[in-house]
Amino acid sequence: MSRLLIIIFFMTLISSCTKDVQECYTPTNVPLVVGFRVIDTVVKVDSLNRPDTTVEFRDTALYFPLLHTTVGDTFYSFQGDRSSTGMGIFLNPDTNYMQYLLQPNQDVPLLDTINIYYDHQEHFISNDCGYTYFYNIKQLKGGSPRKLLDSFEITNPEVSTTQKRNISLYFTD
Amino acid sequence: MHKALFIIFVILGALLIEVKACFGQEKDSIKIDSVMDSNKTKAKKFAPRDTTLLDSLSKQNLIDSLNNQDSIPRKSKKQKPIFERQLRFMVDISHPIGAILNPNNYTFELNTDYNPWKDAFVVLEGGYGGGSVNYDNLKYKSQNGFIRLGIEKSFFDPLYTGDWDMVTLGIRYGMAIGQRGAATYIIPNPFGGNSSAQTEPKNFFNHWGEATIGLRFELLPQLYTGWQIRMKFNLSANSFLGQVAPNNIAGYGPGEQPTNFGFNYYLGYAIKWKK
Repeated sequence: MSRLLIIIFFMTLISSCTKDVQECYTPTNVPLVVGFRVIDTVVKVDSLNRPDTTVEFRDTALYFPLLHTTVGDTFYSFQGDRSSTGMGIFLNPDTNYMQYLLQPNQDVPLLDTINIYYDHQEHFISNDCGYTYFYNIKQLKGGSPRKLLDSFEITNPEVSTTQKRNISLYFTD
Repeated sequence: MHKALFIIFVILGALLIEVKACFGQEKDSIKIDSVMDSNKTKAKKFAPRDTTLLDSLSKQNLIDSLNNQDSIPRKSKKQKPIFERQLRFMVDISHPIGAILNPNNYTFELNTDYNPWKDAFVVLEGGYGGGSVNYDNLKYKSQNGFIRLGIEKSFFDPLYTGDWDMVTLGIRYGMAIGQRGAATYIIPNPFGGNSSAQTEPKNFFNHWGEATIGLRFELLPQLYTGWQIRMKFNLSANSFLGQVAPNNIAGYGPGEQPTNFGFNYYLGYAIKWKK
């Protein structure tokens, strides 16, 4: 009888073990993913001595790229890895527009301006993670004159927890 | 995907019950045949004079024999097998103990079953409960009532008359009605200055299917204990899509999960009679 009571006690204890710890494995601040690409134009001469031009679009790695912005009185810098082909930046849910300054190489003080226009909406992730903001990119505008940046495009306007590339920035080789 | 798994479990459960039922019928038919044989033997022994082999070939005798109903040995009516019946009431003790350890989830649950067949049960379960979330970025409470209806079949044949210790397989259909209270939440801003807001309370209806396996053990005469493991498949999983789902729908579990496992530990009492 006492053995049975011990078994009952442990079975009950096991069954009643429900978690009460907040376990969130999804980012609650959703980043906008920026990709870096290069337009590589190769001019060759074929066997018949005719000019043969190949234009290639491919991902390119930048050396510690930086994206700078100012919110209120605070200056923020987002830094990529040593050889990044992309990086994440944040959007401000209090506004519908942000201006970022792109510095492709941390050692070269050449800056290009990117203006991002967007909408945002609240999104429930889960009980553990709570709510976050999802964004929808409406428009991209570049500053002028451009230093290293050639062009840009919206690859995926939905900025969400999927972390797909949202915008692509093109550089000329 | 979870609906497909549920259908497979239901079909497997039905097949198991069907197979067991077929085997049961085969045994019963053998018993009935043997009883009929013994009746025929008795008829030959005690009523041989009403007809003879020669007389029975003439038309007149045939009519006579048909008119004389008393001379025909009556077939015994197919009698329903008499077996012990029981109405069992059980209370789940695992969830109340769990509520002491984790007051944010509580469920109180009763289980009743009755065996209209020798080794199969009709099961009715019900209860109520609720939950609360009290995180920094999300706070709300919810509560609901639920019922489950299903059948259970003993996995093994009883070893002796009155053997009620059994492993059971079963299926359930459950439904819950409740309300999730207003949820207060905070959304982080990566540049500082978090914003807070509140959602409206939401009434909900949730229904689900279950495949169960359990054990029933007669601890003392008419006093039972046992456990039940449940695989639950939410049939209304999308009802909370993009909304705050109750962290504990009593009877089902976390509302945001399309499938859940459940466990109950029961203590109960049975009323028995023979019919």
